[in-house]
Amino acid sequence: MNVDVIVVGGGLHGMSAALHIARRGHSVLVLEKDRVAAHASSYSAGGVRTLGRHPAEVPLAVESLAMWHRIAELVGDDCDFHETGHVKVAETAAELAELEARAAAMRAAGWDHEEAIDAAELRRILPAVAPHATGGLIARRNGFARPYRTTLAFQRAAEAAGATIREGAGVEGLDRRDGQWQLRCTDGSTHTAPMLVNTAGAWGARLARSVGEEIPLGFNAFMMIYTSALPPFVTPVVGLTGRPMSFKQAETGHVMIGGGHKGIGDLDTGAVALDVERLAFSAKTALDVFPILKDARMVHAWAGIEGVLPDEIPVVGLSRTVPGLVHAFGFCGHGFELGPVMGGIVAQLALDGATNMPIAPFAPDRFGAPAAAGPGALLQPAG
Amino acid sequence: MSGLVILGAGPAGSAAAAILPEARLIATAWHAEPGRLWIETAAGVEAVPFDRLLLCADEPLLLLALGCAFADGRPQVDPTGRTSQPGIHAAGAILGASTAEEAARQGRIAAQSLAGLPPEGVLAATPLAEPEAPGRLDPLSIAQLLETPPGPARSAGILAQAALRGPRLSSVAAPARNVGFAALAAMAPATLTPRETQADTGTLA
Repeated sequence: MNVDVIVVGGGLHGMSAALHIARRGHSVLVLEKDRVAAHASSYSAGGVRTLGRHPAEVPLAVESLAMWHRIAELVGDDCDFHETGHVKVAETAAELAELEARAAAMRAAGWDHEEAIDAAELRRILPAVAPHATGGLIARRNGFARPYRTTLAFQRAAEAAGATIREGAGVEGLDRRDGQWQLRCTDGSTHTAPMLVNTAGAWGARLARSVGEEIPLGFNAFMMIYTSALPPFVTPVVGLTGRPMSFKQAETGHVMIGGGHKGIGDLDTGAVALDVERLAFSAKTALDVFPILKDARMVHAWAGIEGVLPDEIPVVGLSRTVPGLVHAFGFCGHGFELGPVMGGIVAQLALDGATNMPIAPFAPDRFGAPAAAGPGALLQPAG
Repeated sequence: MSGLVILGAGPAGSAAAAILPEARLIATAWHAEPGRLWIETAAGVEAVPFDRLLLCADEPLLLLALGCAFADGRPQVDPTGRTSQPGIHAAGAILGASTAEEAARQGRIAAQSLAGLPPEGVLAATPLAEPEAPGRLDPLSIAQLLETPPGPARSAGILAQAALRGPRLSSVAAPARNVGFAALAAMAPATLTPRETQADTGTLA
């Protein structure tokens, strides 16, 4: 197949890129080695969160959040998005001071979406929170959506706009000749395009490596839990300041607990293995903060593979080693919220060679250079 | 202590235990991983190590978690009950034995094989009709399915989801049975060293 743009990777970011490219009138083919949304794009926690992000991600996350609030206009489906707010809970006075400093720093930088709250306000918002909680940080317009439904909605919208999606087509070889990429796939198909987009998630560095671009991408198999259905007791998505945890209750009453404890993944097979001791640690943390869970049952546990980078922000930008290649991968367990905006950025890079969004901190060649000074992210739960 | 474990205290498990008196007999487990079964008792959550396992209870999700191959809704076994995974056998209800007598006969055959004795006959799984999968479910829908009472319908639904996913993401079916949240939390260590990010130096397929 000969198209304008080939996108490698059929997760949310690949589908969003394909949608934005197709809507600009260009032919686009998505190659997915497995199935659409095989890993992070269907197995993440689905957090739609600007709260606590790395400062470099904030402008993109804020722009993307606005898109989430009108997501049905973009993809014809509400993706089960709920505006619930996200709250980061402080468990000590020192943690509350850290959150207050963060809110002040964000305001000084011109962002007003994070608000420190005291213990009384926290308890009003989270009546079931444990007594030792000292306060928190809230982003009231944040929420959550269902990842698999969201990715399928982007897929349908992309296909409606003219994109072609090919599953079971892993890229096993690529060359660039005379301004054209030539890709050979595991299903025997071959494809050419002048522009290539790498949204291969945890597998993204393999594609980069094949064209001589070494990016220090690792991967994690982040684990998640669903409890049995419980009566409603928490509305916002909850994270902690000093411990990895994300926590939310679905409309069905089931409570999802994730946030960073890892199983074992295998990039060659795609298989994951749970780690029961670490699941137990997640359960202990959740129980510390929400004692109401003491009578719940764990009904499901799973893991999905996510690409992660040493500075915990993604690689987004044009390749520095070869022309005609755009990278957008390594979202470190918190790329779901960025999905809507990232497709537009990738489309700009692929079709215009530049974007008006501030992506310099995500440059593929930033590794090895001295780290930029300034504040980082708060502890960010995966998903 | 590793060793031989028989899971399932029905006719097959009981018959097998009579031939394998050194085996630990347990009624059921909520999760399995290579070399360990996870059980929940009044005392809490406990890991039961094994190097050989005979699974007799109708708990196919445990064998799925152990990576055993399935066909026609049943674990694939040879005439002595060996599954596709070394050291793991199956007999009785898990293979669709329709009577207590047949389950006990299968349990004896599998136990004789594990004991190194000549089996008195052969066993085979009874095929199930492959259920229609409703399409891939997301984790919340899988949780709702796993929350339904254990039984053939629940197992068939989860096996269908696993078949849609292929051998990857075996955790789609986990755990085989639900477990008390507080009991699970109680076995957590006081502190936990974070697992390092896994490195990758691989190349394209």
